[in-house]
Amino acid sequence: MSRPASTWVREAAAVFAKEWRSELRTRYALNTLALFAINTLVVVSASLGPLGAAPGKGSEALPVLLWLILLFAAAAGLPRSFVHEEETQTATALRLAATPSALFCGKLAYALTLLAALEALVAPLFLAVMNLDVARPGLLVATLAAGGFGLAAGSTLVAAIIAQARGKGTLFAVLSFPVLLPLLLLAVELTRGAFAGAPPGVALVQLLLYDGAVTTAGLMLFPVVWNP
Amino acid sequence: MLPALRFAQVRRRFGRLAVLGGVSASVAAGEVLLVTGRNGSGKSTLLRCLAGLLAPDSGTIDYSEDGAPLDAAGRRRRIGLVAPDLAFYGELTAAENLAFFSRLRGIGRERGDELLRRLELPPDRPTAALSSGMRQRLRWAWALLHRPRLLLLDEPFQNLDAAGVAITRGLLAEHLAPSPIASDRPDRQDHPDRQDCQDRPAGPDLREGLAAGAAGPDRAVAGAAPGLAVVANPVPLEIGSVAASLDLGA
Repeated sequence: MSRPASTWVREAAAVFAKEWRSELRTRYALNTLALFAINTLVVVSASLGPLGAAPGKGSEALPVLLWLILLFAAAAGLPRSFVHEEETQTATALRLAATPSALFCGKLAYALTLLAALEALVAPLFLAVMNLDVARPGLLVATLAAGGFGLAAGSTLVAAIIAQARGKGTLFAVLSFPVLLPLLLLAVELTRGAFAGAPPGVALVQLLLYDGAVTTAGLMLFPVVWNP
Repeated sequence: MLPALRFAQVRRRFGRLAVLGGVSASVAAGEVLLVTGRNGSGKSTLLRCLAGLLAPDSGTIDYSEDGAPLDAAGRRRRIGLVAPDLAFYGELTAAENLAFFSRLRGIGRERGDELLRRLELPPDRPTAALSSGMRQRLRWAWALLHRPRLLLLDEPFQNLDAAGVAITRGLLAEHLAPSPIASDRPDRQDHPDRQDCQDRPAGPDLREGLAAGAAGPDRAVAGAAPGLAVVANPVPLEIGSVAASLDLGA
């Protein structure tokens, strides 16, 4: 059943607003993501950073660590979006009232803003505690934006798939690995380039194509996954 | 053209367990189809199939509004459902929950406020802090929010006190016969071949609901045409209001 674009946008906006209203009441995802990210950051900085190791040591690995922190923090908080709907039985009301693609986009927008907030917290802290100089700050910002979008889109899609299954935690790890691996490889390469001052090459285009592909796949798959 | 629901040979299995083994019935505008049966007989499963929440393994479900047939996706959007497993966001208030779903459905907030008032629900209390009876009233409010023509009611009076039962019965009566001058069963001629239902005239309890205020100026189910309902485990709905019944047995 086709619906006007204005109706679709209104539904997606309603879902987005509801997600944030609920989040600001419970602060579950905000607290989980922030605490997980900061704890990991402290461990990493104490082990490898200026506080615990010689400067420059492991600089090749630092972009990997930045994206691992973001990945695991996202994995700790983002799947709850759909899982919570199933566990608290609010999914039935949503199925009967929301257009699936609008619901997916509302949830994706929520995950994206949540992840953007996480990146805004973690990235400056990471650069500070690791005493890193960024040769191409613009590229780093673009990588975080595109990588964050892909991470949010991939996590939202996988979260929707696992929401109705048993063993959700294991399934999320199993399914998100192949979905998010290309994203992480590209994001790490681009972040390394931003630190070293190397041009982005085709990696940034590939990352943007990945974002488009995952979002399109989500919009196409979600109605099938969501409804019987 | 008035809405009508007809389903035939609906079968549904869960693994090896056959829950619905070829169920057929039909219901027309202004009528109630009463679904009875013991626990585990498939009443809730049938209602979920009718709602489009569960795909039957085989069989047909035909539902049309204004002459246009609706598929499962269409039914999901149009029907009103009251069911024990229907829940709302505990961290949001009753008014916020209804406002969210109103926004999803493109309805103004006034409709939700009106239903909260009719169902005597506290608008500013978080849903998690509502009693089980209050939550059941909220399910009714949610189900009627978009003025559905087809109501699917699974244990609709569960946890309700006497006042709650009276209010919701009034709302159901109003749904079935929105105007006092409307005929009880205005589209009987559209369904001359109903062989699987036991037809009964609309009973006095519906008229009592109307007389109790359902048809007054504060009506919450304002619609020009009568709706229809499928009710599972309807205690304490009087059998006199039932136009057709379907016993799923054991």
